[in-house]
Amino acid sequence: MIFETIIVLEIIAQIIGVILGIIQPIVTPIGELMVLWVNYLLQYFPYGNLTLYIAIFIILVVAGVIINASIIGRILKEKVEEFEDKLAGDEEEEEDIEEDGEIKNLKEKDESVIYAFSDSIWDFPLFSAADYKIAVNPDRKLKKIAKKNLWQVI
Amino acid sequence: MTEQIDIMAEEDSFLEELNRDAKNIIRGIGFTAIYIITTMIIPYFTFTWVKELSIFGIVDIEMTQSQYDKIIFWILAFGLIISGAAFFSYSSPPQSIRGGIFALIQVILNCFYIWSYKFSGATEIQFDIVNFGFFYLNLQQMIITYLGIYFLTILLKVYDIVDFAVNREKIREKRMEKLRKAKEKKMMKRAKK
Repeated sequence: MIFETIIVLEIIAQIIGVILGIIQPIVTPIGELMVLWVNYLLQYFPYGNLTLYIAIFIILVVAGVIINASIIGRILKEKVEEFEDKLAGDEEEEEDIEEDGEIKNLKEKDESVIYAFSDSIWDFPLFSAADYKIAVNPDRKLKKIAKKNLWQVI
Repeated sequence: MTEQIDIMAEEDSFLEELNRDAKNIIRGIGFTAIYIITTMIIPYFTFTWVKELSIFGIVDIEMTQSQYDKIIFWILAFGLIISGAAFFSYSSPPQSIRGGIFALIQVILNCFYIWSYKFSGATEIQFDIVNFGFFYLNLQQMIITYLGIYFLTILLKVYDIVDFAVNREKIREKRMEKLRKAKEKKMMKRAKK
């Protein structure tokens, strides 16, 4: 059993050897080139003080948490959008539309599942009453809301 | 009633997003831990162990105190940056451009890390065989070959970034579609209840 394992290992070693032998003439010059620029850049890395490297590590981790936690990103994005809307003097129409109570009560009247299809932001009350919201060739505002709420966009 | 549903949907969406973020961050923490162990802790203890062995004359790896200090410094320095980059890369959403960029940075840092091993003297080892002679193992050449192969990894990472950038919309749509389907499934379950 051990003898067989040794033979298998020998075969694997020979295969690796052959592969390395074939690729070495191509790979070694590339490796030497890599060593050149690594050596060149390595002299610019400060030696003897780990503080800088610890600081970089902390910065990367904190930045990773802030950027990759999309909740924070979303909040920041919303704040920026609000600010931009304020600057442009564009009043939020969606809230006014949402206030419209006529279609909102649809859900109370019918307990069955409701599908809503529309292409316009003006059908927002219909969407808020429906269980499944599908935006078909939506306008800019509806597309924005659909993306935000993960509605299907066709 | 409708307001309640809207609030519930908003809460659901918030929880889903929080869940997704938490998963990404946990994945980042997991990989950072793996990188800290493999690039810092294991090499640190290995070199400390090898140094002790060389002091007792068991193996003939000439490692002076200065070489030891140097290799430990570079291991810790590059290990820290690699682990930081790994956190950023693995906590990013899969197939995102920022994740790709940090994966590339990580690979480049790995080149520095691997090459810094030459400072230890562990790349040139002499083995003495009693009543026979000695043989000399030059691992530096092996590292050069390895770096040459590693160059292909750099090319692959660059290709990944280009791919993510070109197919950005498609990737985003797929991700949204996946999320939407999960959300619909959840809503269906709730509706059935």
